[in-house]
Amino acid sequence: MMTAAWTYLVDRRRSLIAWAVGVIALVLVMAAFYPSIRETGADFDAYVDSLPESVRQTLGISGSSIASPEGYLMSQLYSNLYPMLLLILGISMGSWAIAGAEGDGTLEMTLAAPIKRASLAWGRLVAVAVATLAITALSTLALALISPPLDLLAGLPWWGVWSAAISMWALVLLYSAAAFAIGAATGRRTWAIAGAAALVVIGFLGQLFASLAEPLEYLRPTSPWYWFLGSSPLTSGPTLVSVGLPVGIAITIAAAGVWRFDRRDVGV
Amino acid sequence: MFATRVTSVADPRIEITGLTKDFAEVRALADVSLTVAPGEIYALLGANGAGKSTLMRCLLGYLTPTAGSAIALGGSSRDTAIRARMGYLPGDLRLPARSTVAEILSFRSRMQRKAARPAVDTSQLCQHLGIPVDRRFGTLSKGNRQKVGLVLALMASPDVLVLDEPTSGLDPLMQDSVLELVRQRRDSGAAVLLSTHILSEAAEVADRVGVLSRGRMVLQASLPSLLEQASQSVEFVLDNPLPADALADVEGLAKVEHSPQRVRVVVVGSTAEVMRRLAPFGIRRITTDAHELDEMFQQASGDAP
Repeated sequence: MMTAAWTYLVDRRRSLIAWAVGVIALVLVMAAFYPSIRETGADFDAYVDSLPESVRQTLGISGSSIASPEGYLMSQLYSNLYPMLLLILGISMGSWAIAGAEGDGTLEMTLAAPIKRASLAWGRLVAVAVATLAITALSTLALALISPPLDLLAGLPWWGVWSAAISMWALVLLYSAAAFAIGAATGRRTWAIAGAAALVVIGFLGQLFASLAEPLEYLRPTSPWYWFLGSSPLTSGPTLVSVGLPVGIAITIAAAGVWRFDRRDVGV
Repeated sequence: MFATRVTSVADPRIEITGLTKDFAEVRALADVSLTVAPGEIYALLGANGAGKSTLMRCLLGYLTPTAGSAIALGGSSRDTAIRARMGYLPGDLRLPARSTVAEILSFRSRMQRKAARPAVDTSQLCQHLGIPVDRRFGTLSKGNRQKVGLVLALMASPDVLVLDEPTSGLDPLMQDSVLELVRQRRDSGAAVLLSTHILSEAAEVADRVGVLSRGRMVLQASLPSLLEQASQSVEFVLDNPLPADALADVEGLAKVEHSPQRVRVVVVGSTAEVMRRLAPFGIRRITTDAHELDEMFQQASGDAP
């Protein structure tokens, strides 16, 4: 299994380096904007205060000023492009792991080696988890290093960004595993990407609409986005809901995908 | 016209019994049976879509048979211990384009080690075949890609070798080289199942051949017996005129065209008797038509329901 994981990472080393550079650049640029936001904080806060509480919650700035480090990081980084970029990477890798390889014909020769289908599949999912975790960790390290002169982490516990990082990674792993499982079960990469992307959108919009419409409020805790954004990861630390639940579900659906992959025809 | 003859093998390395495979409404294979013994090359002939690749993919465990079984080395090739003793070259070889040949071989080598069937040192083979191991697979020519596939198939010193059109895309010199490697594997005791649509290739290496047509095995025979059944068209140019009845009652003679010093005959089986009768008239030149297997193949394929 580890050989399969390692090979999958080595095959993608160049694109993974490019992804790491891109994500780190995004984080650094967003961090660099913080001083100007902080200086005009009163204007931003006035605008944010005019928004409904539910929208503020959705944007991750409920209860804290956007000019504050927590408000800025949650609204401008963790609810925004940062998890989206990692989701694109995770879903892309997860969907390629079996379905992409099957579609481009390389799976046939990989399975010609003495390796069990399940070992190969789990190995490749481990590679997806390691790749997304490594890029999350590197970008978080970059954030932690650039923040002191910008006062971006002022007032937050030292472990705050790491707690947010692990919760965000759990969210990414969940959707990556969904793409992986759909691809492993069907052998169709298009279905894997479309299915996982649909789940991302339903989860995000679902929790948004649920927060806007009181009768639907009870649905909000069913969204993985709520598990992440609603758990105040910068100050509360990783929780069972923000990390344990998505990781557990990711493993469960991946196991279902592997089970099906082990029993179906390959390369039809 | 040709009877299907299933040769039973005492201890087959490959045993396919009543294999049937359906894809939705399409029956790709229908009740196909064959065996391949250790030290034997079995050539599977058939037009495109005849079911050759489907049969091989069932044997390799990629496809689950609808009915029947495809067994290698006494078990399922999904078993890694068995798979470690098998080599496979698919008809349409795809490998990670961005990986170097060395990385691809290294992955396979690690998997072989884990399955307690270490790979042989492939450096000599790569050198012999002229494979640039430091190049990325995606940048190789079609011929070089095919060679990499062949090295992967051979690197475990396999007891069962499954090759889907192994010389496809290779130049004639390299084709000979590849067929020699296949023969060497056979001579060291491996059972070889290869598919081809090049009849001369089958005639050159195979011990037995089977013809698939529309998913059915329509002809199965050893090569010598197949050649015995095959007709040969031979033209003789003679020094002296030949009497009209010189070839009367020669066994196996299907057709005679004859002018005083030139005779064209179509013979089923041996031409020895024809030559014996013509020898007194001075044989100056003999020209044979080498497409007799072609004819049989086409006839057998055409006879399929």
